[in-house]
Amino acid sequence: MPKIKTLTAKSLRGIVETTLELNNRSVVLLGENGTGKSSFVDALEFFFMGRIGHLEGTQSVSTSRHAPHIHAGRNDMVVEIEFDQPGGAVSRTFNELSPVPSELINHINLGANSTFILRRKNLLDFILAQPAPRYEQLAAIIGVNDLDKVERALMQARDELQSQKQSSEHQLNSEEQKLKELLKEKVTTVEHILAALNRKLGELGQPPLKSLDEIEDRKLEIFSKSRSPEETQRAAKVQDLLPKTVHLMNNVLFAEDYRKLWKEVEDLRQNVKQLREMLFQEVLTSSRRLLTDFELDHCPVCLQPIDREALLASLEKRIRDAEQIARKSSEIKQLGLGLAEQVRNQIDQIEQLIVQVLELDLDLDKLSLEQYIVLMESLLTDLQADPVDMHLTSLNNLVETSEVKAFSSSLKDLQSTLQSEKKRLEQTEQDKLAIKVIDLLTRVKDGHQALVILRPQCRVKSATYYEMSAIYDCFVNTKRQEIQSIYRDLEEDIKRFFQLLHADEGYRGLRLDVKEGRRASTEIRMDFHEREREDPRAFNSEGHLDSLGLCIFLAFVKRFNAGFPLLVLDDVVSSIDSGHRQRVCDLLFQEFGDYQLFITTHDYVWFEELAAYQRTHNKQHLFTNFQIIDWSVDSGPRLDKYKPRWDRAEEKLANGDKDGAAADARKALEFFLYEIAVATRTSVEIKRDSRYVVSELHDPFVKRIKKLAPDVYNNNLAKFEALEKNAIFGNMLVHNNPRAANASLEEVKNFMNAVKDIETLFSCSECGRLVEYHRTARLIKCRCGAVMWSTRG
Amino acid sequence: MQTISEKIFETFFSKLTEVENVKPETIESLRTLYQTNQLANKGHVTRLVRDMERRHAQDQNTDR
Repeated sequence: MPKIKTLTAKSLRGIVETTLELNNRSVVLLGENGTGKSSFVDALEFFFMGRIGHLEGTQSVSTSRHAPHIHAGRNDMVVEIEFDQPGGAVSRTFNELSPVPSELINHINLGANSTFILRRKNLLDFILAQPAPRYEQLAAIIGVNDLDKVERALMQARDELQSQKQSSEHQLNSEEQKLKELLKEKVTTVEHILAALNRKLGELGQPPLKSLDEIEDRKLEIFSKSRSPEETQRAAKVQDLLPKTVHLMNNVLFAEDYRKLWKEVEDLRQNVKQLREMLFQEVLTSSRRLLTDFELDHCPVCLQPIDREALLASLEKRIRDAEQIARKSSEIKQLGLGLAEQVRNQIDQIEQLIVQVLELDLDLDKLSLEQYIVLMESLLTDLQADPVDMHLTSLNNLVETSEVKAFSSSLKDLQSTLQSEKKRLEQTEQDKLAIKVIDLLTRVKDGHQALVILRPQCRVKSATYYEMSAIYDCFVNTKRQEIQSIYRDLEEDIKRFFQLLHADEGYRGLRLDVKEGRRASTEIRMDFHEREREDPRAFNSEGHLDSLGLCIFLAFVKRFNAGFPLLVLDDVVSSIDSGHRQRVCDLLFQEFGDYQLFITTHDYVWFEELAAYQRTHNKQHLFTNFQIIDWSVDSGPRLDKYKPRWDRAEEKLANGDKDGAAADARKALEFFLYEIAVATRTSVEIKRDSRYVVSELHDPFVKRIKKLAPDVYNNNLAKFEALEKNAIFGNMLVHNNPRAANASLEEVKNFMNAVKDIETLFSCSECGRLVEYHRTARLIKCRCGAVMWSTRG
Repeated sequence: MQTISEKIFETFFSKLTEVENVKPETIESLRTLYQTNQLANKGHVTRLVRDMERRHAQDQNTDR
């Protein structure tokens, strides 16, 4: 499997131009915050993906604008990777990926489709995120993100069909109602319509029809008998257009429905608090369950006492609010879709009206009608959006737009034109009767034709909707079952990884569940001591949640990135304590030994621990450890290869840098005293920030060793005395004491040696780790099993 | 090697043949859209829906 020999980034984020020589090894990169270490991670992501994920997804930042170095442009940015394969250098710019040698094509494609980077900010997403964003994170690793897009497209098609089905049913009912009002009785079949029409014709002194097909002939017959057939026909058309024009005038913007929708949307958006509750619905429900199931009297997160009854009552109300607003949002969406359908129909009606008026050669402000249609078409997009994304103009403002005013005005003009024309054409009683009969016949014929069209249309819409519904349900259920089955497979690995980090800490089962009834979401449950299926947030510290997130990520990577041996961990263990971090080393080395790891950290201690682990496990040949020693915007990060702390301090001393050497020794002493105090269970005054200076730890530690292992103290008295004598430097260096500044090289050397000797004394002779006190065994021994001393305690 | 996404689609198409309301022609069209990577494309799905409607309309004409 190809590994990276060199990584060169140019003009990318904080990097001006830097080459990292990896030589197919894993990398540990130490750097203070803001010195460009994550820029190397960005470079790897850009190389394989062509984008930088954390710069995407918001309007204010983007890869194209913010990935290039601040003093460079898009075209300057290049990432080149040389692989350990023949012909193995490939570079990527914004415009292209250079030709990829055939041996690397598969590898580069795998990289483009794998999630191989875990950043600190993503870590807790696996745990603390709501089920839906958590699902998105996991779906990206599984490689099923595209399925979500398909699911959305099918869902949208189903919802649109449902809305069209409802609209055509509404239209059908409306046409049936109109015929009922015209004929004064309910008519469902052709025979009913014919019988009712004949009764009406009889009332007007007209002979009955044998079938509805005779309507046009009867109209022609009436026209031929009238004084001027053309004018009578024209009068009938005018008569037909008048109610249509009035109907449009009365429904400009569907004012009542539009106002209702606008108000609902505004209420929803203004009620920020309730909207937020909708987002917290999951947390609120889980919290209620926790409170009721376990009768908690303290908050499981902050451990403050709580008034359970009052909190439950408050939670109930908030959950009701959240459910109510979710329902409201769904209702508003349906309202929007219904209104959109009405708008579509209105557009059709206006277009027909234009054609009919122009046929009669009457005056019409056609432009105003067409401009109104354009306005309505733009409104359609908003009406189909999700309620929180609907950007509707208020009805009052919309009414005031020039398009709406011109439309209303031109309809008014048209109505007046049609009325004048009607008056001009209605001359005799006989003509009036003829027009009345023709109007009746026309309206019945139109109504019948509408039924003929709408009834099958309704059936078609309905059948199509049910077919699409079945497709959507089948897709969602298949996806849910398959992903659930993947989760089941992975649970074992996650549990095994988590057990490796937290053996004997009471954690048992772990379940990932695709949540029922939700489109795309994932729930996590854990067993903790006697509690079963709990949300991990209920009982875990931040460090434990971090390590759970890490285990979930690693289990997915192991399963889904097979064949792509690169794993990038960008500053992900900062909240995990020292003991557990050793186990993270075990996990990474045991399970991902064949991967090329790229680990960045700002934590000097973790960096040292990783370096020590490499030494004690003979893995140095597999790693290159770098540290960023300096960064500036003009030159980017300056890198140096890692040197063990004491080598570095001695090098400084040899170069006459006594301040640097003394500072390194002081940091080493502080680190040693803190870690050994923890390992030997030394009593010290507890400090909120856990930051101690040498004087606060030295005396309690020595006292503890005298009590716990007096022989160790007595046999190494010279070392303890040397430390005591020189430890004062540790304190003085912190406070910029002038005496420390005036110390001689010899004095600094003595201080360094005293610290080094005491550190060596308490380091395992087998593996080099610091030893620990085991109270039950009454031993001071190493985690590797090597016993150093027995104790009295 | 079959990806998870491919496996899900294969199972989906296989189950879809057993769903009563779904026509074989629709399944074939869905499969074509999937193979051409157009199943998430709104325009293509809209055309698919129009074809479904056309088939239901033809059924009604035949039934009449």
